Amino acid sequence: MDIDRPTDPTDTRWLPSRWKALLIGAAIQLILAAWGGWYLFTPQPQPAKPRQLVNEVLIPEDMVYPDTDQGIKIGKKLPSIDLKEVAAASPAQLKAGADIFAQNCVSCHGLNGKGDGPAGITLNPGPRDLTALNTWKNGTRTSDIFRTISLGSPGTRMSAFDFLSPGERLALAHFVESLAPGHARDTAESLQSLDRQFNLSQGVTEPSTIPVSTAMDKLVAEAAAAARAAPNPDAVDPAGAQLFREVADSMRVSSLDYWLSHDSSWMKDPARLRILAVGGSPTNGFLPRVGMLDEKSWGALHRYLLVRYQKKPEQKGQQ
Amino acid sequence: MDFPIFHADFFGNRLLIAIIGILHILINHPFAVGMMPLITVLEWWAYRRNRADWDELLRKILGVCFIVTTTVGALTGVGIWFSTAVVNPYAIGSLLRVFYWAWFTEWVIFCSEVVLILFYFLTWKRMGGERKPAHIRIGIALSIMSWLTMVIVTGILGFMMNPGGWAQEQSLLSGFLNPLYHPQLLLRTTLALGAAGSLALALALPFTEKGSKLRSEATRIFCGWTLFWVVPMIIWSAVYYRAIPVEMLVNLPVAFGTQAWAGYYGLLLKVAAGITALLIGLCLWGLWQPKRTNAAVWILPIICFAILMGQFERTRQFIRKPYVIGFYMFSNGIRVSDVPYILKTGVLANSLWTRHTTVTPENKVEAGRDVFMIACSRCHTLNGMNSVSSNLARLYPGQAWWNAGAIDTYIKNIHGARPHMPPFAGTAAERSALAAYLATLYDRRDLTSTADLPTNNRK
Amino acid sequence: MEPVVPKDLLLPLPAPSWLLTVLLLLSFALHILFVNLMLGGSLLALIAEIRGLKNRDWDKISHEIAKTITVNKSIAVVLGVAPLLTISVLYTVWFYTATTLTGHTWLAVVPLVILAFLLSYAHKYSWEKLAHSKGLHITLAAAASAVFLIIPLIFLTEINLMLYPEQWRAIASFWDALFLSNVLPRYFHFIAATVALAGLFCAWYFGRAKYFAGLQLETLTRAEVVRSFYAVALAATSAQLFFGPLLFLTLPAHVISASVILILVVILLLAGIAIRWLWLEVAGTGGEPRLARIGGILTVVVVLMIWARHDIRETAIAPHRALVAAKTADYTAKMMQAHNYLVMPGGLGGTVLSPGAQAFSRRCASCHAMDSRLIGPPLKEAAALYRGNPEGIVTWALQPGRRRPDYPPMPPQQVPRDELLQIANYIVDTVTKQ
Repeated sequence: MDIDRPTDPTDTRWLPSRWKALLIGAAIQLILAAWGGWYLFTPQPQPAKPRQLVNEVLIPEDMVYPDTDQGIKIGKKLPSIDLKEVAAASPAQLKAGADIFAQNCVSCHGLNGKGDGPAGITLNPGPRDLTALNTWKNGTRTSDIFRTISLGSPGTRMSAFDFLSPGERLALAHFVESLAPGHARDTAESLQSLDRQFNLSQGVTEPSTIPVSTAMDKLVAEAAAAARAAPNPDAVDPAGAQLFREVADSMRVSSLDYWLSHDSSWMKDPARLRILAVGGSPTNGFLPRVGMLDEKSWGALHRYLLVRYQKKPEQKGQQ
Repeated sequence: MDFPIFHADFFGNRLLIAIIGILHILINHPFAVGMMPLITVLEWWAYRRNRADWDELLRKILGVCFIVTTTVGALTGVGIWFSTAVVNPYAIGSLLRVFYWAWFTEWVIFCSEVVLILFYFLTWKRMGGERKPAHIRIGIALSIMSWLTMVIVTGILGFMMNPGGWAQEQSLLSGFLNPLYHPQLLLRTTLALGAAGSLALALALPFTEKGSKLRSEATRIFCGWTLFWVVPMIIWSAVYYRAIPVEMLVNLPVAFGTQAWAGYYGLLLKVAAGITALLIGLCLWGLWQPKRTNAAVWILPIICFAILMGQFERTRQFIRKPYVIGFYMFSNGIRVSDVPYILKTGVLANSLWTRHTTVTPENKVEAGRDVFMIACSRCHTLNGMNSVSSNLARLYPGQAWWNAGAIDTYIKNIHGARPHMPPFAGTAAERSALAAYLATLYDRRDLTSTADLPTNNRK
Repeated sequence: MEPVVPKDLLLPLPAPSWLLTVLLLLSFALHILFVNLMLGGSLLALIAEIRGLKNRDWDKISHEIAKTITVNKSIAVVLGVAPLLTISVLYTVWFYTATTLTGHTWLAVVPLVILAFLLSYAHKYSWEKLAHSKGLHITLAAAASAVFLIIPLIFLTEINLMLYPEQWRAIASFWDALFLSNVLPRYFHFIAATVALAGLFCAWYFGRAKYFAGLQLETLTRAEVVRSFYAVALAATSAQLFFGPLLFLTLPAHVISASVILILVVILLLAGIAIRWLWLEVAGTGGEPRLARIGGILTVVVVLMIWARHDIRETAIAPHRALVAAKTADYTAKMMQAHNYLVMPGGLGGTVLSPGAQAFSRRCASCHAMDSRLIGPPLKEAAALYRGNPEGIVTWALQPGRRRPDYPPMPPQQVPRDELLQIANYIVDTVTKQ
């Protein structure tokens, strides 16, 4: 760059400086635009997501793995409930029931059980006014209340509160009863039938729990074993495998794999696969260039994926 | 959890950092990084064309930038460290450990930048005539050093949103070369250069005379310079958008418009596009008809840039919520990997500066306030900006609904209902204590006065 | 009092601690050199300008000193970055605890320094304009100096507080920390050093023959001016003979080690020599100029002081550092172990819900049920429109229109597209199954 001398109008060695400036300017614009364009149309890496932190996973007993040294907790037997406790309430139960009610029920049933809770305003049918027994539909005996709490009320938003233990549900039922006088009384038969239905006097076992890391290891091992046993789709259909490799975003393989293996709507036909793949790209793991495949390629890709994810082709009319 | 809790309940702790940070950006982009190349190039051009009037104009513009950058500019930079250390020592402490050498290198470059700008400005008059080329070379060195500071700090900013390979490799380089690095660097470079043109346009106003040839030349040149850089700036903002982690895109409507205006996201985007179009339009007019311009052309572009830059910074900082360091640490200073242990043992038991360490029926409400201070106060105030009381009022209209049980249930799944919220880390008892405390905020009156902040009440 | 024992950050130091210590001490020395020139220069400029009311030459000298402040302040601030960075890394929990305990005052440093700088600029650039309003002009200088004087007080309070974890619980505000026993003696010691150093600097600055000749002073000779500044340096350094021991005596006993005492004895001797030489300069006894020697000895003194400071800091913190390390290791082990109890998205009542069902229950179930009206319409009705078309649900959820005026409007869902698609597939599957 020529700093040292002012412009010599007779100097013709270089382009006039206006053209030089234009050239430099155009070069800068071109480089920035090309580089930006390259970034826009190539895959970007995504970091690994942390595990989610929500409620504990519960596994039914028949799925419990025998090796308890891996931190698996076999569910313990909850104390059995004497039917006498169902028949009559104790002060401790009423207090516990009040707390559970405040935690779980007031949002719909209201602070005093009158069915005027904020979350229930727009429900139809609305939450039951627990003080107006004449409106109750499922019976007002303790056993009826227990049943409703445990199973929910079909056709309404009253869901099953079975994550509460039987003892807690019983306490809650007694509390609800205390909200209004005039509840019907349980008979020996109704108590027996409740007991048969919910195994109260024998006691219920908590579901067993397994640490996530162990569960994941086991799932991975199972998947690996299944993969070893299954036919290798890449060997069966190399063209399809190649096609898949071309359109799959190598940086998002895990989310693509998850979607293909857990979602079933793409299986219907190649046209459905095309809609879903193109529509969800690039976040679903397919590269944008998947939109440029022709009909034949979609058929081939669909066939390959069915084999790869070990699904049978859909029968017509079945979904 | 282990540091005393600094809490500014009126403005909120976020705003403290935001004001200092955005002020710093508004200064260093147009006044320093963008302005030094502009002045150097024009000084060279004026020297070649023998334009003493341009030389003097540039010197005056540089004078303003010199004063602003060496006072407010420099101190807000340090101020970012002061404020982040006081508001979120875990976050800044972690960043310092990862990027110490990057910041150290940036410091060395800063030292040279300061020395160079002192020379560049203070010797302008003395180094005229034959010594001008040497003076221009100082300007070139200064421009490069200014830009290099941006090259370094941008890596760290990108890391906060997306640490890239650092999650596995835990090295400085893997964190520095994160996916946001190039896009953000090119975006900021073009933005700084473009904004400098608009700033120079505004600063030329007091230093040139109405109707003079100098003023119309300045209008044309500065408008042209701005337009030149705005085009790649738009391209690279698209690239930057593309690089944002897909999980964080969901925060955009609230990031852009706050919860109150999140539903108007489309409209707000159009407003932003409109401001950009206005900026481009004004610059085109100034370029084409420099003699027929008025105050709008000179002053509005830099205002447009200031709005766009401020909005960009706010959006960028919000998108990465609930994290302060993407996927590693939540905004309240709790790391993702701390959460399981805290879920088991409680956040109060793991804090040193709260009044209570466990929740008992007697201290429930006070303990709930302690939980708020630890887990929520980095972003929320009690009754000030972004207050929990106003947020709760939006959810629960009326006191009967504003009860501890409902709030407890809401907090339990708050990270599902609001993607920018971290999961609550604490035992169920602590969550219920927090809910009990929040339920008392109904009248927007704090139970205990704000002077009684729990920094040191455990003797 | 029981010391508070925080956990350290769970990230390793970026370099071996000896290297960080060297960088800290070196960069701090450079920073404090220019801080002294800036602060001392500000004070000397003020005093010179006041003298200048009687003798115009001193006004000119004051102007010259003010010009150096512009340069020295910027260098002082930029040099301060490295010690701040390094101390935050090396002494994270101590430094950050001290600064958050006194957060409001600590933060005030930023606007105070900005104010001091702007006042300095105003003072320097308005010299001619305010030539006839000396009162106002001197007020600017005094204001700048006053603000400059506050800042070291804040820094010294923090640096001191961080050394005494057993005092942390007793601190309710900045004032409590300020009146811990050692802070004010440190402050006066620092101010005296500042004045001494600035005096020495000015003795050199105004002693340059060519430069002085260029000033064209009317009555003062170069020797007179230089001697005045030597006198300032002498007075300030002699004052250290009081402030130094005061500082030492107010140190808590447990931070004093044998090496510190040795260093201080050496410093005392060197300072004595420096004072003698300064006295000789002031007395004007002639002989070779002793500036270089005096500067040299005082440089050695400063280096030794910085070493002694560091020694005191390490002695104070060492036992606490061990406690912090132990607590951190303990926490790390427990924290890693807790990962075995990590939770996983799952169902209730024994079945594991599919991801689509989980996502549905998280995002949608609060307003939509399968076949009853909640806040929104029953899904069976709504999804009937989307048989075989889950993407339609996605489009609707992202930007819902308003189909039914008898329902409240549905807010746009801020949910990632692929999660919405999962939910939509789940809805379509469930609805078609029923």
